[in-house]
Amino acid sequence: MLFQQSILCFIAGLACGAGFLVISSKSPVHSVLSLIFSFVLCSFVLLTLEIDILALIFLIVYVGAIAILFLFVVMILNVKVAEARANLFQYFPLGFFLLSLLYFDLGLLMPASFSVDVAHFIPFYLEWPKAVLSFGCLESIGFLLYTYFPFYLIGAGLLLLLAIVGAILLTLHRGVGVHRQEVSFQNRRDWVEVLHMVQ
Amino acid sequence: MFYRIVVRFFFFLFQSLGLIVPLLLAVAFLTLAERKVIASIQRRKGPNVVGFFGILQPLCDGLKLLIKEPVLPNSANLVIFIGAPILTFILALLAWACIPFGEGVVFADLDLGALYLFAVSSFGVYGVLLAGWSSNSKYAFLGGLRSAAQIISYEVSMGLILINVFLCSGSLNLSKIVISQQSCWYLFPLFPLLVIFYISCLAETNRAPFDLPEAEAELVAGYNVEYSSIGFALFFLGEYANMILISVLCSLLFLGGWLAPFNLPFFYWVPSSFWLGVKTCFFLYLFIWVRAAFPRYRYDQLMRLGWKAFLPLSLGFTLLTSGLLLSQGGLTFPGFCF
Repeated sequence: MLFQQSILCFIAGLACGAGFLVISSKSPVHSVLSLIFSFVLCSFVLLTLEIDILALIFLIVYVGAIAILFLFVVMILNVKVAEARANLFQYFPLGFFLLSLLYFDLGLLMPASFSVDVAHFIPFYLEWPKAVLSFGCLESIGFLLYTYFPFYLIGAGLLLLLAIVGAILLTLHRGVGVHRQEVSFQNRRDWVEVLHMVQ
Repeated sequence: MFYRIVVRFFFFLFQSLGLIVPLLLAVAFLTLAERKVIASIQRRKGPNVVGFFGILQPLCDGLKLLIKEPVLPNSANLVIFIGAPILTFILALLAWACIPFGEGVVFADLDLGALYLFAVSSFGVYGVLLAGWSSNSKYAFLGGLRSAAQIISYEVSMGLILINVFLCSGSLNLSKIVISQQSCWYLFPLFPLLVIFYISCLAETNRAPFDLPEAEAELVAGYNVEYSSIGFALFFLGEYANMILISVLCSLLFLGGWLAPFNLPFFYWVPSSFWLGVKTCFFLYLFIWVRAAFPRYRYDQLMRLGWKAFLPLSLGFTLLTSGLLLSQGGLTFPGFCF
């Protein structure tokens, strides 16, 4: 137990160090790389806590998709190193405010809203002998999410839908005079109508 | 105590080498097979000088790459430049840990093996992207960006197709997925998904007809234009190891993995890994055949295929499969009595 806890603390410390590198490194690409490193370390923390499904989903979603998009955008942008360096300290009050807000949210509000009796969630239709043998992390989370917290799931889904619709609305403008390839139009073309013999 | 640790270490070492060495040999001979098959399709002879029927050609090529001078570009970001091919190669090897070659013949029988595979294969884009950026060359950079956008686009539909397979098998463990195909391979009920999955795999591994990241005509060689000798060799090994991995994954998910094609007693005498090998070779041959037969896609066509054709199709299939399974009472979940 002590061994596991010391490993946990070590990895979490490394993750904090990587997080510090994100804000302290000169090149923005290096910042994003440290961010990816910190994501990977966070998923190691989850693995140490034996929440394997969340660790893998963390890797797939954050490292495999979101961080790649960050890296993509940062590589395309031509950010001057000196510019990013000059006004680093002016964001500290805002950062401190956000941090305290997060701490207030996580530390004070979350435990109150989630402190429910575990015995309340034991379903009557569960066959205990089979459940004890086969319940992994995935089954437990899925079971609780789809039976007792479906509104959180639907709410998260609606938020994501809103984000998608918003992003599409912001970027959707059809340019005039832009040639697009329409496959159905190409398939409908008949050579008899298109080709003409010139006398 | 110390003795036991040493024994376990060597056991672990031999296990990993038993996976890695055959994999590297397979990569070597896959390059030869590719050149031979493409040569036959184009009515040439292919490599036939070194060794019997050119069988030693890949070893000679590998040796040539190893003893060449590694050229480091002057203004490249050296740490990332050297690290990117290593990362690609490590990720290509890492994914093999949870591939079952037979019932119980697996390095790590992970409960979430398929998810692990998906995670590792989605990291593969980092090697390409970092190589393209750190080379400090316009061609390499464009190749890296193209590759990243392409791999992310096709990963979405691949993930949705994987969900179909998980729904049918009721497990994320690759061994259990294979065992659940005992009565019927998923090839038959999910055939359209296999086609979509395979085409997405072609895009995911940057192979023809989706090899835009290394389009010779416009980008010279894409992200690995600045690499020579061992760096290039590592990218090459990684790409081909990924090809083999994806073929194994296709045969595990859809063609019943190590299961024999028919329930004949004669087939049970053949070792189970042989059947997996045969199915993998079939998909690998398809990779090479597609490369020889089809022209390269244009980039907007590639994106349209991924987002406008494959994504809605696989999403619709996910809804269809889950609906059918639910209506027929086929959603298997041990512990519940619905």
